[in-house]
Amino acid sequence: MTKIVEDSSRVCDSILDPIASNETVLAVLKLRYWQHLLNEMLKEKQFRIPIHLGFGHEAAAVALDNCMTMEDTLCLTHRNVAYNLARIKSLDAILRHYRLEECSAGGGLMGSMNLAVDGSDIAYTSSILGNNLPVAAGMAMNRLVMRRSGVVFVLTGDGAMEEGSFWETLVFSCSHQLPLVILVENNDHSMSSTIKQRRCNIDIDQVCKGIGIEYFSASGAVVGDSITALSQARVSAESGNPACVELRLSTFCQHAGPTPGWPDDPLRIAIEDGLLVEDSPADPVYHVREALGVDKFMTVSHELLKVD
Amino acid sequence: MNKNYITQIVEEVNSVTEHCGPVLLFGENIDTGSKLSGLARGLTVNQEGRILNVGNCELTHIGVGLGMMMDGGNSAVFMKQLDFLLLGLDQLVNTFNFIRSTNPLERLGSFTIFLIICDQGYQGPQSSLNSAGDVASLGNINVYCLNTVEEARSVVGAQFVSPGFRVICTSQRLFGTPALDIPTEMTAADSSLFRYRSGDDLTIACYNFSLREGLRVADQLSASDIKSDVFHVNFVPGIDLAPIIESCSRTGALVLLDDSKTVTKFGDGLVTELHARDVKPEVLSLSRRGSEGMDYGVSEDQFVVEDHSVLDFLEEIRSRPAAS
Repeated sequence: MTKIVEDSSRVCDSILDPIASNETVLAVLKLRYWQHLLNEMLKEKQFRIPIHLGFGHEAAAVALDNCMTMEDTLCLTHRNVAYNLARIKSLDAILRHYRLEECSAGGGLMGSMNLAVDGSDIAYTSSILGNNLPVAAGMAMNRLVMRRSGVVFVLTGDGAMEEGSFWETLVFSCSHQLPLVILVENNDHSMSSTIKQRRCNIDIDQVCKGIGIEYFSASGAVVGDSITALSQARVSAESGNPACVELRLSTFCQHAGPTPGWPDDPLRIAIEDGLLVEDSPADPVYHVREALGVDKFMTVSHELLKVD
Repeated sequence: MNKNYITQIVEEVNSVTEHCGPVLLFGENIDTGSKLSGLARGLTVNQEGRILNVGNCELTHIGVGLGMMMDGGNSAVFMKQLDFLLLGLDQLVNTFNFIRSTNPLERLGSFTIFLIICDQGYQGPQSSLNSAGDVASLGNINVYCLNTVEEARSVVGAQFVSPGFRVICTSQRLFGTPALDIPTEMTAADSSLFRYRSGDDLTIACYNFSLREGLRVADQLSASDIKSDVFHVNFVPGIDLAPIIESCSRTGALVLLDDSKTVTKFGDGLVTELHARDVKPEVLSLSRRGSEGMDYGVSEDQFVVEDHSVLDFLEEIRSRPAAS
């Protein structure tokens, strides 16, 4: 089993600079900015569909995008906006779906919870907890049968991993040596319930060890850290050892819709407050600011706003 | 000499899998022991294909098959009994909803769920689900029940490895019986409808695995010079019912046979369709709707039509005074 030592401050010094290039740093900021725009649109009730934003998931999404090769495929969950944006790199492409202006290749509208933008290599997005895991295993199995290269990444969370399909997929993928990476976004929440409020603790590392799955973990707020963990997991999966990556991160927005979600909602996100939502290491933008320095961060942020 | 029912079906599967290129046939105990009571006995694949024994996780198996199909691959899962498919209903409904709304058919590979319906009785309360139509209705998906050799050829030959998704059911009570090798008089191109007998006196529509009983009834009536159109109807979305509607217009009498225990019947849909077209035959439904409580336990689980029932129905129609 391989486990990445986590220390965000060391990561910033030793890993972020060489791995988290300007491009990835900018990508994190851009995702944050786009989500701010979406949040403001949600406040104005511009959409008829439910949308689950992912403030705090930007670094994980950029890291995953960075690790995927052209042969790889991705399966997502209902909270997919950061990943769709990271892959397609266009807010307009997402908005066309949110505004129900663009159909899928099959003719149906995807909305937000099942959004897999064409051309993004996102093959499947499920709003049913744990449902995407066996499907991703099937896509990985097809690579074996067809003797095709490439790895399948599948996203899940600390809530969805309570479903039986998570455990079944771990066993199935290990039994058949599938090129599969399961990414667990551990934000300590399933809707509004924390792990402590709803279940016993699950040590994913020990679970993986018991089954024989490679396990990696990292702070999902630090893009370089996440890139390293996902890259190592990808190498493992490609060689026939499926892997599980646990990224610990925070979700700063409400479960769905705008934040704040109601008049006395204690959560507040507003674009006029700047790109940073929480001035702490839990916020991916905090690490970008740390890496760039405050002056450069401000310059880049202004440049980003000017470009858009 | 006639082969038996399941041997014939496995031969039809092999005739597809020996030429179809890369294909994965997988299932619990697919290549060990009795090989799923014979469902997978004698199964072969071409050099690019694989037969894979897998663990006990039906929800995952259905997801794997659909995932492979989305990725352009071909697979079939072999399943011991329809009851097990209940664990995979989320994938069957929700994943397939995503697939059919977002993927053009030409992008897809093939996925077939190939299973046994435990309908021989005495299997117990948790091994007796025989309602293929319920699965078809729940997901609005193609579900075929193989009753005859011609149906095995038609359905397996055209559907077993073909773009898209379907469920193909076999009847365990027929496994050891001689294959029913009778010619069809009409076969729909999509295998949704087969006609085996012709006549102007009565229309018999058989669902699930009731065809043999339908043919027996038709042959008995024929001895009394009552000739019937006999259809087997599969569960296919968008089915063209025109041949049955035409038949009912001509005969004015419809007998529905359905050996499944489903409560909502596809035969009801046929009657609704007939009425919508202002075709109103006299209808006799010889179908079970669910069971009595004790019958959900271990019990004789045979669907047998009482010999006099159809004759009584026809005589009752004939005895009515003609409308003025």
